[in-house]
Amino acid sequence: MIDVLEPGLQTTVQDSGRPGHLAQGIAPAGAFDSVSYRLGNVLVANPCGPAPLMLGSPGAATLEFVLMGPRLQFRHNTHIAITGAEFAPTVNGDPVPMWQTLSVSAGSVLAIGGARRGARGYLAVRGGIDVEPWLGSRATYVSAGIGGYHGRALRQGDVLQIAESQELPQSMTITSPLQISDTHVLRVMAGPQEEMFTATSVDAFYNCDWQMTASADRMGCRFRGPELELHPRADHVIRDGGSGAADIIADVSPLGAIQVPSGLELIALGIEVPSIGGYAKIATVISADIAVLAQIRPWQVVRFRRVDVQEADTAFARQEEAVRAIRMAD
Amino acid sequence: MIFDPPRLRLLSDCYLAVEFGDDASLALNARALAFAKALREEAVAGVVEVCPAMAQVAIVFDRSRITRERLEGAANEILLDVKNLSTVASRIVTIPVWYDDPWSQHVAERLGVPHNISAVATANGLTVSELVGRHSSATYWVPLVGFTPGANDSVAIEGRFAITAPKYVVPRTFTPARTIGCAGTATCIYPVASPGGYQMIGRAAVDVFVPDPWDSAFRQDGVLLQAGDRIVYSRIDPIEYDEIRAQTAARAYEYQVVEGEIDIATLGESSDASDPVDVQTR
Repeated sequence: MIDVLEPGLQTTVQDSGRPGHLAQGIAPAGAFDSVSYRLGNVLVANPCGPAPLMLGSPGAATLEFVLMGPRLQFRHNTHIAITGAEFAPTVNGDPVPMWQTLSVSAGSVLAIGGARRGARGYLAVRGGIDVEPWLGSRATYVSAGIGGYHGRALRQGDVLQIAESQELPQSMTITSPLQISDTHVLRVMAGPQEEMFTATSVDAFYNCDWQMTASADRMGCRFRGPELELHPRADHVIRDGGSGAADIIADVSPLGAIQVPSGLELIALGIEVPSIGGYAKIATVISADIAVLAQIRPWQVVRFRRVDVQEADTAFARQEEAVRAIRMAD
Repeated sequence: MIFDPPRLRLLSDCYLAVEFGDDASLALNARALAFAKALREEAVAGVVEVCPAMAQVAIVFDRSRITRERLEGAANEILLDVKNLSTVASRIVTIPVWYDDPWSQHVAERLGVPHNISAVATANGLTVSELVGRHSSATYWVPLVGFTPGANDSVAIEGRFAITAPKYVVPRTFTPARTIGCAGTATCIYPVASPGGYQMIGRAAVDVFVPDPWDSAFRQDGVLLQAGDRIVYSRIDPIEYDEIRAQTAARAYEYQVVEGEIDIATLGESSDASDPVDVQTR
């Protein structure tokens, strides 16, 4: 068992998510940075599950934390690993490395501290966090208040159960295939409604700096930049979609879609993606860069780079191959 | 506009959309839903999600198990199979509603906005009693479910029953669970307490999202209303409301659901006709 001494800013139980229910408005949820999540599980010999919205049995549940991590006490000897954004964790006050299998003894206190680079980190514990699954997954769906630990972020005094594991982790150190930096480039494909934006605005989208605001969570991350102009809309779209310049007849919003309500700001949809939306989407973050989106900190600046579907597929295949290679080395 | 044949296009590197048109037409919606149903039944390997919207079906696919080309081939075959369908399965679900309920009044008073149901009645040239009569006489169609778990819009199938209402200019930060809201020509049921911008006209006595459902009317994921269902909102009094709440609390309430199908032609071929259909997300 693990006692939560301090919860951090928003620490939630996350696994590889629960795909298959989008048609009921149920987002996959799960780890926002799936690469760091899966590699953390590899380090403690847990099953790591598939990438978001892919098929396969879910991986073990970990803790996801953002910007400020939790302080936790372990009641039993176990193995852990910390991955994701750059934190400076300590065990009983002594610094410990990330991206490495660590053995902790009963009574040890792990303090994750604040993120120095990037936003989201993961704590994998041998056996996985044991909460009641909902629809086959232990992921917390924060915006709906379901799944994980009572459907919410952890609080001081919470006690987490750990599942039994027969696997004994080998001590491993790995290098993250994700480059987490302070300047971000997100690769995107043209969005479903790119043609609604003027050519000047499409140019501005790709050639200007965009600053992430503090309004950024697992559902959507908002960015500020130049105002984008849209072409006048057909009468039936105004009637059936709404009066805003970017209002459309509601359609499916893919994971990573970038909505531009009224042309005033960008909302990049995260791992708790609302399945349907009513705003024009100028671009979609490619699957391989969802983990990068998860690591952007408020007030940091990003640029968007356009790629075609072949490049998006290649980037995803490379990322999956890097994760697979590390799993096989285990 | 109707796309004939329907168009296939990528929304992202792992979402393929099949698009039936660009109107908010219930007939196009029914065609999209029939395709979605056939695709699910076909159980194409590598298909992760089949997610219908107004006149579109998005297919999330696992690239390690199916190529885009094979998925497009499978989609085109199913499109041919459903091209000439004239009916689609459609349940009729009765939702008991306490119209002009005290919670909606209380929220409006707290916000300092007009009594919502009176404002909606006035905007439609009706008294509150006439508005309730009209709302509870119509059969509503659920074109899509989504945004958040179990959230849906429904629209009156017959235009003469349509009620129009403006959205809040500044959305509320709080709406009680099970509130019945109106905006545009759509009616929604808020599955859980949430922000919202639809005018509050009543409160359903039954839950539409129960994470651990007991009644077979629900899917296993706890969502009652499915795209393609029809809803009849039935007027109940405060005593009946309390009785039904007690039964749902005891997990003993029997949901009123009638299986059936509907002739797509009765849904009208295009929204260019005289009955505008306004489907918006909250």
